Amino acid sequence: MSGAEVGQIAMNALLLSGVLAVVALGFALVWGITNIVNLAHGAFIVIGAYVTFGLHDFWSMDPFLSIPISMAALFALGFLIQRALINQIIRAPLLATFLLTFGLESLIVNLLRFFFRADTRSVMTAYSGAALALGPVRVPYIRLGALGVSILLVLLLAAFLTRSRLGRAIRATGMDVDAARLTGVKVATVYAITFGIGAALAGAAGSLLSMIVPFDPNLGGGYTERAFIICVLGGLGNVVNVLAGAAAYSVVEVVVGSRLPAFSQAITFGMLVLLLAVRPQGIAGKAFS
Amino acid sequence: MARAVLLAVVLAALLLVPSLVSPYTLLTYTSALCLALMAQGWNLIGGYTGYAAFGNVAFVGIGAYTTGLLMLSRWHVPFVPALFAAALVSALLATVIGIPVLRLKGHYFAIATLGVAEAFREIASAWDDLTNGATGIDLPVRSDSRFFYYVALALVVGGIVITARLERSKLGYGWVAIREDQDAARMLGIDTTVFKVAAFALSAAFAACAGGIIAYQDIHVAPDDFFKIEYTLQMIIACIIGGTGTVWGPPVGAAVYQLLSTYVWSHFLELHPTVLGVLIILFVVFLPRGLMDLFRRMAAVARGGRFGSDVFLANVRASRLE
Amino acid sequence: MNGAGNGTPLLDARGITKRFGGLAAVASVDLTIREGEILGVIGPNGAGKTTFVNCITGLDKPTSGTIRFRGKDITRMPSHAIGRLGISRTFQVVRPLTHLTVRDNVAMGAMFGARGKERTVSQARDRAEEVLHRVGLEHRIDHAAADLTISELKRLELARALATDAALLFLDEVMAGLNSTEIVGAMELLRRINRGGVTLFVIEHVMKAIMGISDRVVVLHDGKKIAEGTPQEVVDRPEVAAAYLGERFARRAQVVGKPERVKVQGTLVKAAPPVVEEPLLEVRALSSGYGEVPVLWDVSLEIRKGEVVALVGANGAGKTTLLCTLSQLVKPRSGSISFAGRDLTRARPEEIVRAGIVQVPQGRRLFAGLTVKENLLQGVYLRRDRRQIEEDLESVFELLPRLEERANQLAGRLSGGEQQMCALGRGLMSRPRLLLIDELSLGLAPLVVDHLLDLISRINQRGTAVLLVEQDVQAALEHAHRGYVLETGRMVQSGPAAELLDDPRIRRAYLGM
Repeated sequence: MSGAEVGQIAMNALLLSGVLAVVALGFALVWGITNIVNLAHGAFIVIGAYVTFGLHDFWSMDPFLSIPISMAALFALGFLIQRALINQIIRAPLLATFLLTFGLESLIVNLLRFFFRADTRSVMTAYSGAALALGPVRVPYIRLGALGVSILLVLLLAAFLTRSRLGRAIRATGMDVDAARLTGVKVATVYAITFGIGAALAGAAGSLLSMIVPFDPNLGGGYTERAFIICVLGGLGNVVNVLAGAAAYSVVEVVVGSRLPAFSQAITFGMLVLLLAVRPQGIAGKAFS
Repeated sequence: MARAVLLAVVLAALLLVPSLVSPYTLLTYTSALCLALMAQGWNLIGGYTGYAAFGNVAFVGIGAYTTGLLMLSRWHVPFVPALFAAALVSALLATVIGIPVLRLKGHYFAIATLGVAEAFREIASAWDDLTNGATGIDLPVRSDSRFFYYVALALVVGGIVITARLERSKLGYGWVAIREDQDAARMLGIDTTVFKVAAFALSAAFAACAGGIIAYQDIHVAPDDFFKIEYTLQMIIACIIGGTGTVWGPPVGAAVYQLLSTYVWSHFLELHPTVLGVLIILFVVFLPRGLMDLFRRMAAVARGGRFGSDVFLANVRASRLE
Repeated sequence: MNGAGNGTPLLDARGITKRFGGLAAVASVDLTIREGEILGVIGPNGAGKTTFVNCITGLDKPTSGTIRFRGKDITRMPSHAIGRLGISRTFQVVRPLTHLTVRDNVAMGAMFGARGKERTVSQARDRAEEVLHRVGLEHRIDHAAADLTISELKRLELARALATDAALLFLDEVMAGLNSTEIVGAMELLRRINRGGVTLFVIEHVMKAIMGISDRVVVLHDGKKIAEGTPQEVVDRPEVAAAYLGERFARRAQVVGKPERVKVQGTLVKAAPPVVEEPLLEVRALSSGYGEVPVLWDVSLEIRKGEVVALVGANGAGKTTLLCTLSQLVKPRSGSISFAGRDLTRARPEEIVRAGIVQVPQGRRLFAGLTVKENLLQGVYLRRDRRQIEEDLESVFELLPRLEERANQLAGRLSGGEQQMCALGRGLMSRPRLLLIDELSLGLAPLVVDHLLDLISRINQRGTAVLLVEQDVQAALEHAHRGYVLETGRMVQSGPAAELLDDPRIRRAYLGM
């Protein structure tokens, strides 16, 4: 491998890890706080992508400007879904919540397919395709912008969780539900907000992905799995853990993708199973702090 | 007695089906039977043992490929022995995979199995020398839809008998004990690893049989047609519709699912998978114990019990968060 | 009683230690169980009794030590192998196979246990019927385990363990939650089982029962074995009473219990008598419990403005359940709760906090991943008065200067005493009118406890009423105006704290004799 190749691989991993961090943070927050593994996370990503696509297509809105809209829409959707559906059976055995979110994924993806067809879409702007050249390493502007937005979102989330009253209540609820109740927290509402934030992050990731890759309604599934692997790798402990997981996973994906593209899933899942067999409960504890 | 008569009538009707319907319609019946077979398998690990396996489609695919490759091999293995060999291969692979994976609990187990299925799809697409990659393999043609129907029917009936026998065996008792409380089960002297792996291997064998039949009927096996997540979903939802952890739940659920599916397919083609999603949600929220449980309650009503909205709301009342 | 068995050691545990993180739940315990005996094991909450049983039965692996059963080393054996050797157990929190019938539950034991290999499924089901007759549960044989009452569930677990043909049974609080008639029945049942040749290791909080049936008694405290002997010998040991009642009360009770000695007059009661007679909290005929399991029956209680009330009673009496019912974490089944003239019987937990009833829960329940300051601020979650909050934070820091020093440390890293201060501080930040404190001194050193109790008095003097649950009976009553005694879910006694201090019935409620 030449130096330029290594440089390009490292840069690609960095660019990938930004978006993946946003994807995984939303997933990890919901899992860590409410103990729901949300298999519809990928579907939320796809909705985000279509929001950006739609706004760009109909009103020629710049895709970066549509991110807040896509986040707001998905926050509302996530809040409602948690409130109306997931909350109804949140204490049922695992299979129930797992299947419910699985069913939601299927429902959302197919509704999207119904309304938007299975055609592959992409959001093309004047600056799509342009790239910054750092010596032999190419850095597309869009990906650079996406990395910037990702960093901004991660910082905002971290600040919200640690500095705001609501953020503190969310973390406290994730650590000890009954103790949180004893301080006056309405747990059902906090859960719904948490789910909404998770969905909003998925929406942002979807908006970013719509500019980076061509997509169709099936875009999301692979990202749910990636988010899960990242959480296992990094642990659900806190924002930093998830970022570390995203970075580690991105390196593996980029390296495997450039060497053995045909077996990338098999290799990453093989790693996952091995990892879990050694540490059956994942790498780090559950609480999100 | 009434039960035996009912069973005899149903079986007779099922035996007569091929003479009554067109060969094309018969395909629908055969797919319902194949789904029943997969669901019966999933029921052993997911229903009786309580492990949320989300990757059983891997064994459908392995069954399809093994059957096909054996028939195409230079020994030209006939279909039925090839099918049994496929079941055996699947069970062995499930044992090897199950030993590490069944140590996992909850979400981790579910996602790991999901990953195993994905990994097999990829291996099937990439291993050109064996599987002919994404193009897939072509099986010998046999356009006798009755044959497939009867093979599938025989296996489903066999599955019912086997499940009923297992339910009353030490193996079945042990599975249920593990589902209800793994620590208590251990303390009673149950070697949980052995029991869980047995359930996983058997469920793989069932899935492989279904895969083999579908492969031979479709005469073509390609990775994306067989390692598709929809199969996993369908077998689980069939179990849930009928009732998990019961002998009759999976076949009843598969029949109901196929009925609904065909109806939706012919009326709202495009919305078909959407309806599947809605169905899952409705059953999970309102009837998590399935139709068999509902029938039992209705029978109780017929004997003078009370039937209220409680039947549908009990789950929500017990598991919602205030 | 059949004497102390024939004396041959059946199970021999040497130097058993179990650590969780840095904490030793069990610390080098040596213990021999002799063939044919009933060995009673007592000790306050958190003494390590259940962990010890988990280590023996393979559900936890001991950090160090060896276990021999009939001379065979079973230390590293998996649970199922231990089960097949002839050791079985019940669980403290019952673990029935909920969706199965009673018969099938018990049949599991018969088909997989020590003699499981010899039986077919239907033989195991017959055997289950036999065992169910023995424990008096035959009338429920075809019911689902989910439909059973707590006392029936306890017997079901016992039957399941018995059906394994175990030579040695570990019974973890099989009598908790039973009423006194049921307890007498359970004692008789255990004796019968023992006479049938089964060695019993009985963990129990119901002292009356354990003292009545045990050949020998072992006392665990803070993970260590502190006494061993016949029931009478053990009860007379001062360190045993001290472990249960707190050192000071034990000393006093010993004096009070023996009339030939001079009766010591009540020492100073530190809290001032309440100024107002106005009732703040009125609880009438309250009943509650968890799922199918009732814990409290017809409990009535009154707290007046500015009062400190002590709630005492043995482990498992329902003290924590009462506090959690007041906080609405457990829903009342009947009865009423009214607070400052408002009916709060059907209120939601956050409405309780808003009304001014704030609980400092047992085991502190701090948010371990939040800093001390964040924990305190979480206490003001419902408040919007920003400036007042700043002031309150100042005043909590003034009252608890240690917290100010540690303000930016994670709460999980604090020492036990500091954690309790932080929990108190978190409670105070909610501006309570009534503070419910559950087990203030659990696991803390005496000096720290004294300090905390003084704090309670100071908090009270600022006008906050306090309901104090405390295992150190003397300390609790010394700092309270009035006291209530809870016994197996019922309020059995109440009165001015000074009178209760000298009441010999309290000692009986704790030690059973």
